[in-house]
Amino acid sequence: MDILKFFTVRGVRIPAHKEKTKDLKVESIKPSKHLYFPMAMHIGKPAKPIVTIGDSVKIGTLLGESEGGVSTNIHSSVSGKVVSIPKDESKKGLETVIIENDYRDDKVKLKDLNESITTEDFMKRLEEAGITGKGGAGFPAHIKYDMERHKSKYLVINGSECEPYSTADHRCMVEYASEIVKIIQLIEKTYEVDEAFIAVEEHMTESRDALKQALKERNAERITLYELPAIYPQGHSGLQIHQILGLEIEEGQRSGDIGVLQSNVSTIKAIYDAVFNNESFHKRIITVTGPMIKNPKNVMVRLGTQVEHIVEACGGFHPGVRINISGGPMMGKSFEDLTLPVDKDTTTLLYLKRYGKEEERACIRCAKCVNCCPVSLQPILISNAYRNREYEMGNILKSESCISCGICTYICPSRITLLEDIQKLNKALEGIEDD
Amino acid sequence: MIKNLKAPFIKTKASDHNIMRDVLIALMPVSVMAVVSFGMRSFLMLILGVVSAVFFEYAYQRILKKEVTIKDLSAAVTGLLMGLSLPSTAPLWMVVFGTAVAILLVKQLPGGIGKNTFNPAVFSRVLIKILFSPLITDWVLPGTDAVSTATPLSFIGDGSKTIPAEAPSFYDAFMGNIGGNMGEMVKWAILLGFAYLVVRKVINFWVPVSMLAGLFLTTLLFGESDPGFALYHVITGTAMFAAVFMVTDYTSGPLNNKARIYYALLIGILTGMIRYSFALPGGVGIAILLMNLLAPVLDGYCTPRVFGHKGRVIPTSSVLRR
Repeated sequence: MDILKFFTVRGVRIPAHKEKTKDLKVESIKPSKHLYFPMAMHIGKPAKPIVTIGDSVKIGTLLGESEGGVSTNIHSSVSGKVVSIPKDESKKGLETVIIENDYRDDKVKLKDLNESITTEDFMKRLEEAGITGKGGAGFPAHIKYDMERHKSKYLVINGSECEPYSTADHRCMVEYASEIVKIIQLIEKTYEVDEAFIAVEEHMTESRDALKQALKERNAERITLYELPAIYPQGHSGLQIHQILGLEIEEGQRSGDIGVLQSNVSTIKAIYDAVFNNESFHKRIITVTGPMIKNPKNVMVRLGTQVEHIVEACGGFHPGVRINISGGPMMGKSFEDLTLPVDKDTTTLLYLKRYGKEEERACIRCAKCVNCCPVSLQPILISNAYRNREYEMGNILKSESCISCGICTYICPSRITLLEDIQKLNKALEGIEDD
Repeated sequence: MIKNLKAPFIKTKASDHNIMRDVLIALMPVSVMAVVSFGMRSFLMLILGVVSAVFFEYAYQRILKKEVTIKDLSAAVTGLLMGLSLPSTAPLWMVVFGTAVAILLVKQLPGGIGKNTFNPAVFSRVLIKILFSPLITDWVLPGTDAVSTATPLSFIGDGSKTIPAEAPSFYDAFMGNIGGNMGEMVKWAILLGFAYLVVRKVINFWVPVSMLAGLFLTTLLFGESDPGFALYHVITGTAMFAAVFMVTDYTSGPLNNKARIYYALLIGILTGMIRYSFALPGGVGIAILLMNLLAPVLDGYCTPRVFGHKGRVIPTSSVLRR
């Protein structure tokens, strides 16, 4: 029982709201007539378009080429014709390739890989296929797998979808358990890791059982299935590594620095498709859910599909005032424009009912924020420092270590916007350092 | 349209109002038992406590044109605690005096909820004891015929090392068949409130337990390792009531859990020392007020190490600020 634990568990149990979609099979929805490929579907530099208006493309045709450094390739997800490449001046001249679908679904595949794959081949394949981390951060995967190739001792596959409502990774594990295990075995061999783990959340029994079965069938004794408690934010990479391996990533370090290679299960599935099916990254599983959508679903969508097309496939909205969120309710981003295309980071489309804002009240010093912060920050002290303009206190209180999980704001009984204050303080600190 | 909506988009159901409501609910068993034991007069005192506390908060905020915050129920909690920490024989004006000091002087003067250094009810109760001692030490046994008695503490304080034969039995002390302040007598009713607050996650289970453990260990030391004597200290006087409802007060205590445990433990130890050293049975109140002053020091001392950082820096000015 949590309540009797000497010091309360860091993190919080948040109502999961996954029951609506967790048992729904992933449905492929018919692609729309037009698909939109902004050249920044990932973190880092946008890709450079290499097609021109009128070009015929197939599934897997390269549309945008990686600009080098932190950047990645972007491929077409349908067959058809490039109809226009507008520039959006409001987004630093970001170019978007628009393709008209001919519904023939012709494909171009990547080359077959050698039987005995090296880390070099593997990394190249990730780059060719345009794979980025699918957990939400969108970091190009080839860079990560390149950086860590000499020092990896552990492989941690993150299947803990700690955000409420999201079930995309869960369904991915249920439906592609065997594929996931197969590719993990390959990475394990190629990167010569000592130990491999798949982290799943304790209440998601279907995905756990599916993986267990697959591990048995494929004789994968060296892969450990690790059940994490359903405490938000167990899906955070650093905290998960700490929980499983007892290793702590120091400030300024990456998981690779302590010998850990970590990927999300959905990324792993995309890597599987790239390595074994020679497919570039062009589709992904998304959970469409929330009280405002008529038929919540897990859907397989082509990248570049506009959100409104997906909403239509899910029966449209219930009437009422709504918040549209891309991602989960704790860390997602709200958006207004339903013509937004699905990109490489989209995990969940969540439609919540919008209530009036509750007025903020005085802090009662309940210290729930202090005692629940997963990285042991003291959010209320940071918030006070920000509001009193003592920005330099941010350094002492280590405000830059905030992982933006949102627990402090979620849990505050006085509805103080703690996370917002922390982020504003960090911005102010950056400003001071820049001057 | 809607702009600048930021994550997280969901909020916990718990609010400051709900927390205070839970505290009021947790105080119901002791309140009901007080009324059962002492009749209508005690009922009147408790109601007067709540009403006057809420009134003072309302009046203060209206007169100074501040936002009126009586809806958060914190004034009601203070008022009820004030009533419960007096004996049923105390004059009615004393209840009003107590809530006036608690709300106006201790709570509102430093800036209202969350800003006070001292626990309002405890400060007020200690002040009343100092100012009006003879008027509020007229202890009576439960029942309508008001049989005068001494509190069990008068048998074991002031250097005692054993329980004299004439002291009330453990059973009587546990069931509340003793003299004392209204809220502190019926121990099983306090435990009910404790259980409720723990289940509702309003308080940390270990805080009251640490306070009582501190008291137990200290009195064990003074009582020449007689566990019976130490246990008698724990279940007599205001110790249990204060451990559950005063030591766990958010505002006047430290913030982080580790500091809260040390804080409670130290209150327990101080209480034992005060009870042993002076003919002053009300040691709990003074122990709490002393530790109220030291709470920021404990918070500084217990500053958590942030994930990914090797050392820690104590944010002195931040923990001092209320």
